[in-house]
Amino acid sequence: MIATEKSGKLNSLKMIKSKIGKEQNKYILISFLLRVGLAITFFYAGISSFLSSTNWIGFVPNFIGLIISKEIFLMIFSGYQIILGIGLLFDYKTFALSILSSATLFLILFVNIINLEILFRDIAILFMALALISLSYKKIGKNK
Amino acid sequence: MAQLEFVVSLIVLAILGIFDSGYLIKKRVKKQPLSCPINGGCEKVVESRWNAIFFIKNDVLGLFYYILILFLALYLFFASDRFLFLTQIFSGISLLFSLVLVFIQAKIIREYCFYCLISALINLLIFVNVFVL
Repeated sequence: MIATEKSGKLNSLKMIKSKIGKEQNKYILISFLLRVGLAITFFYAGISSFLSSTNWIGFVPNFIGLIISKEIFLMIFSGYQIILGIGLLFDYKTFALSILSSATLFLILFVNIINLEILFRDIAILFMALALISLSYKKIGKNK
Repeated sequence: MAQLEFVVSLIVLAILGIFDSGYLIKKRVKKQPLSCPINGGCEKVVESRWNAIFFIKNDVLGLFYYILILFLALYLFFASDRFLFLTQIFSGISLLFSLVLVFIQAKIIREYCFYCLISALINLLIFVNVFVL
């Protein structure tokens, strides 16, 4: 009787372990896909505007031109986007970086709301960043 | 000079490849287990006897390939299309190599390595990209 009870408990423990493992794998995969998706976007925009600023200068708001040259701003912004992409790929401080990504995408959309015909897909990317915030926040909670 | 969009996507793919193979190398050198999100077969594939060619580990080979593609893409953009044919040949060989490795995973090892599949996908995209350049 005791032996069967023990083996039953062991089996249920194994089942719980495999369930946790599957959940963890799901979490890793979702986080990976979101991070890579965001990183690709930031890399593409960063590298493209770094190599050819003329294609992107139109998206820089005019008030930036009053403070700093638009070309220089675009260079700095390219570097920032590439660093953001690298950080996301490294899974380094994902929670903070996803907040930064959301803020960046929100600002891009906000200052270019007139060009929504071109930028409407950025809304999806913004929501990806928001999903990553909630996912990485959960991770922090679990670690506690 | 090659078109900007294709060069940029080639650079992005090369960077992703560098990260992918770099991650595999790091885990192998530090002897850490891979976090395998699809079926947990990464270790079996990475430690199999097909993990190297001519004593060079596949991940190291991959890393060199992606670095080469990165430099070739920059050369294609800043200098000339002189090495376009060379890039096409390299991307063709790497795609063929990837297909063989995917076949080995599916039919011989019967386990899949997530990061190897990602690498194969990157190689396919590089191949398509290079031929549209």
